[in-house]
This record gives sequence, structure tokens and C-alpha cells, in this order.
Amino acid sequence: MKRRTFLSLGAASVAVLGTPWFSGCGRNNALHQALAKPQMLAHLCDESGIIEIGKAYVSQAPDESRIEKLTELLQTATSGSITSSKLSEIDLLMIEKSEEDFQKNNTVIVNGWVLSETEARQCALYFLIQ
Amino acid sequence: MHIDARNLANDSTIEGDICIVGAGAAGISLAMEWINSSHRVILLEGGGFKYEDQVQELYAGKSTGQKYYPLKSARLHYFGGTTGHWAGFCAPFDEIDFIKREWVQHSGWPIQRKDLDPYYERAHPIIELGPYQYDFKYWRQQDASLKSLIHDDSVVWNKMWQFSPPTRFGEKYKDAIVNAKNIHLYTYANVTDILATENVSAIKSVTIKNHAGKQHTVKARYFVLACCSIQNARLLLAANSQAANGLGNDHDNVGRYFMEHLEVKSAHLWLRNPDPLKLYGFDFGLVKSRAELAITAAKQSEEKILNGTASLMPMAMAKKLKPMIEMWSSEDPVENMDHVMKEFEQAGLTSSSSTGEKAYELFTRIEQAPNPASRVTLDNERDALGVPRATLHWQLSDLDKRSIRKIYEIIGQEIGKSGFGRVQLMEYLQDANDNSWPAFIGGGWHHMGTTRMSNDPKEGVVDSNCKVHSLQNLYIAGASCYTTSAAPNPTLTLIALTLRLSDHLKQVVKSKN
Repeated sequence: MKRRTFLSLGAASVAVLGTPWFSGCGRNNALHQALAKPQMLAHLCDESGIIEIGKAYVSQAPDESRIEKLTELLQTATSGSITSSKLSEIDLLMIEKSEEDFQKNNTVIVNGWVLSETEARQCALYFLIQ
Repeated sequence: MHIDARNLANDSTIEGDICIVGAGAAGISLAMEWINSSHRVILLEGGGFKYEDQVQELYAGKSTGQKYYPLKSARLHYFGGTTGHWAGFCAPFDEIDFIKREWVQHSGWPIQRKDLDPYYERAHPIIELGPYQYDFKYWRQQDASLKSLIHDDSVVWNKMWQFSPPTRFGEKYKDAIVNAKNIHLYTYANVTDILATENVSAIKSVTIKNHAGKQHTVKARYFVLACCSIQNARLLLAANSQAANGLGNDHDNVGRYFMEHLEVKSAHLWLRNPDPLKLYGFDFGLVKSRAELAITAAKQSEEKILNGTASLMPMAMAKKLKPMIEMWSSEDPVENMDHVMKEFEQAGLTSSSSTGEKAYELFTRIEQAPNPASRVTLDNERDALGVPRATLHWQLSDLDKRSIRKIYEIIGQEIGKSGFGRVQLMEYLQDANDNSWPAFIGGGWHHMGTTRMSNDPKEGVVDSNCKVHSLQNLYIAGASCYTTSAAPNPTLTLIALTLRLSDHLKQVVKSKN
């Protein structure tokens, strides 16, 4: 992660702290938990809503129906691979990745939601690790 | 001058220079242009100065195809016409609405937006609108608190609307019309037939009747039909004693291409933080302007979609509102309006502005692709005055549906870019392969296109001056002349088009004198 990116995410980082209901998923590993947090959606719908989106995405993109595959896709960022050693940064990186998706029109419609590909995958991962 | 045609001696002959059939927004706007001229203008109104069921009944007809409002209650039949209960929503058509779009069959007017601009400006005071300004930047200069949901207007832009009080033509212009010496308003003067010259190249007279059993003849040098899209088509089709398919119908275009604005709830906007979104808010009678989210011409072209807009309503209110197609189900327009107003009040729609909501419903207003199979024809049944009733076959197309879906996909992407929140399409739009329509889809009571404009007589009924192609002295005023229907409500444009017609008629009259 480049320093420029962190600076540009200053405002977003404040918002991340206020994410309403993500509280960890017990036995699942920390990287999966960190990746599976669609920050914007967490402010717009409840946990069951995220799970529904995740379930629908998995059904609509069967190639991405495995935890490993989703983890790999989510970890791939424009600026390089995200590693588990930077767990504390993942929230911000996912926000940036999601914003990039919108800028590049990398969007998908899942259950009617117009989402960035990243947040759709985050929902899918959240669904799978439950 | 006002004359009640019921009180004339039966079989009277009325003569004038110009005969305007219909005293609604178009007919009255046209007549007002001729006040104090040296020309005798005959203005014919089928009803009186207030609502009467017996007169309204003349508009009753059948509907087939896509479910529609009862025809009897879809228009008002008395002096002032449907301005008697219109809501006053106004915006000009966009440049793209007039041009030929390869992906929209039968699109392309013979006139352009620039041809109407001066008339739009002249139409503004008639319906008591503000300055002829529809640029978002202008309105933000007036109120710096107006905040756009969109950061980049190259894909989605804020299309501004203005609101008429709304002007009730029957009240606002009654005195001016009645007191004008050269305007002869005849009430209870329903045109039941149009008679042409022997070679059917011009109109000689129209026959008027009323429920008092009186029948009269009106002769004029020029005739203008201004009865709204369904009735204009009905009159031309019913005038078939000299032309088997009806007057002006040599190429079977009269009644075809009936268009409505598809008005339907379509998506939900969820904001990260509550916001009143003042720019997009509407308080009836209080707000003078607002924006709707629209798709740029370039993006419409790229996606090959129709022109449409999305308006916003707080979800809490929207959820309480029944679809219009359910609320407006009676044959009685007064009963329907009472019902709608009651529903609005219960939903809180007439109360003060929202102070900040997190969820909004996105409501579509979109043009209908011109479709020759969407049409008005004559029924075998006749009304009390002997005129065949109209039958409406409203037919939508796959392009209509695909366009709505794509519009919300685009808006969803742009809202995502702006970071305000996310958009969720309603269930009926989620399957790209599903071209069916939900039961709650309705129209805006905007009837357009049954005597469409084209300079090619094979493609349209009127030319660019609103003159019926094959008839030298018959003109049509109103939304029936629209080649395409654009997204905005039709009243502002139909008045602008009528003023343009009036200028043209003045030139014609002058050149023939």
C-alpha cells in the first residue's frame, strides 16, 4: 500500500470506525474476517441483507463460490497484493478498491443492488464464512 | 364573447376566420394569441365552465392492451380542459428528444429544440413559471444549499423542473376570453363531424351538437383541432363520410403512435447518512423548482436507451402510496382526484419537507418508444351525440423496459461513484431477460402522438407547422403532434408548440389577405 493511498483515505478511515454490526466471526481466520466487510453496505442493510447479497452473488458467479477464490480476488489490488500482515489496513484498502471499481464501472447487479465487484465479493465471502 | 350553443336556434350557422376546436391548454393559449386582432375567432368547447358528468361521459371508451386509466376520467371535458386538475410539472424537452436516433424507430422530429426555445420562453408566463432557466448551475446560484447527488455530470445530470401554481386555464383566462370582442367562445359545442370540400383538399365546416338536441354548423377559413390526443384522432377517424379511413388519414397514421409517459416506482436509493436532498424535494405549491436525475444524451446513445428521469421521494412516504393505476380506477375524474389527494395527505406528501431521510424511492418518468401498434381506433358503440367512441390499445415495447432497467443501473453506478450510498433496483427490473411489466405500472395521463409530426406524409399526419398534410386549412394543436414523447410532462411543450403554430397561422392569414 502506497503512502499516497493512505493519505487519500483519511476521511474514509473515520467512517470505518463507525461500521455498525461487524463483530468478528469466531472460528474463521482473521484474514477472511477482515476482507468480508463491505463497509458501505454495512451502513445500509443488516447482516441478513449482506448474507442474502452474498448468497445471490455466489449463485450468479459460481466460479467464485469458494472462500479461497474470493480471498484471492479480494486480495488482488491495483497497487499489489494485500497480505495478512496488514490486516489493520484491509478495511481501508477494500474501500479504495470498491471506489476504484465504481470509477472503472466494474459493477455488478446482485439482488437488484448496483454494487462494486469488490463489495459483492465481500458479501459473498461473508456469506461463505458464516 | 360567450355564447351557450344550447340557446341558439337549432341549425344555426356560425362563421369566423379561425375555428379552434377545444378549450384546454392548447385551445385557450391559441385563442389568447388572437385577442384584439382583426380576425373573428370561434372557440368551441364541448362542455360548460364546470364539470358535468353528462358531458364527461362523451369521453368514455374502451381500453385494450396494457392496463390504462378509464378513458372517461383520463381527461377533463369543460372550459380549461385537463388544466382543471393538472399538477403543474414543467420542463422543456431535451435536444436529443427531437433528433433521429438510430436505436429508436420512428424517432426524429422535423423541428429541433432550438426552434421551440423562443416559444418555451413565451409559454412560461402563460403557466406562471419562473425565468426560462433550466440549468442546475443557475438554480444553485439562487440557493447555495442545493446539493447534487452526482459529482460528474457527464453520465447523469440534474434535469431541472419548474412548477406552475398550477395555472387553471378555466379560471385564469375565462374573463380574458369571454371579454374579448373578437373571440367567440361557444360552450356546449361538441364537434361531431368534420366536412371537407368535394375533393377533400380543405375543411369546409364542422358540425356541433349538444345534449339539448341542438345541431349547428361552423364555417371558417382555418380550423385547428385542439381536443387532446385521443379526441383529435377520434374526430379525424370519425369524419369518414368523404374519406373512408377518416380525414388526414391517407397513410393510416391517424390514431397510431399513441404514447404515454411510463411512470413507475423503480428503485431504492439508500444513503449512508440521512439527507433531505433539498435539490430533489417537492412540496406541492411551495417548491418552484427541483431536479430529477437524467441520463446524458451521450450515455443514452452509448447504451441505446430511451430518455427518462428519476425523481426521489422519501421511502417512508412512498411506501404509503398506492400505485396511481390502482388509485385512479373510477370513471369519475372528480372521485379519482379526491381519492388521490386523500392518499397523498395520508402519506404525508402535502406536509412540509423532509428534514433528512436515509432511504428514498426512485420513480421513473420515461418516454415511450413510438409504436404504430399503440393506437386509438373507433369503437362500434357511439356516444350520446352519435360519435363512435374511442378505443385505446396502449402497447409498450421491450425497449421501454430495457431502458428503465439500464437507467437505474447507470444511476446506481454514478451514486456509487459519488459515495453517497447505493441503489437497489426493484424486483421487476432485476432480470435482464424479463420483458414483462408489473401490475403497478401506470402513465402520467399524458396522451401524445396520435397525429404525429413528420414532413413525410407517409410517416406523419401533420407537417412541421402542425398542418394536416392533405388538407390545406386544417391544423392540429397539442401533444398529439409529438413525434416522440420525451420524459417531461407535455403541457409546457404543447403550449410552446401552439404558440409556434399561432405565429405560423398569422403569417398564413396575412399572406392570404
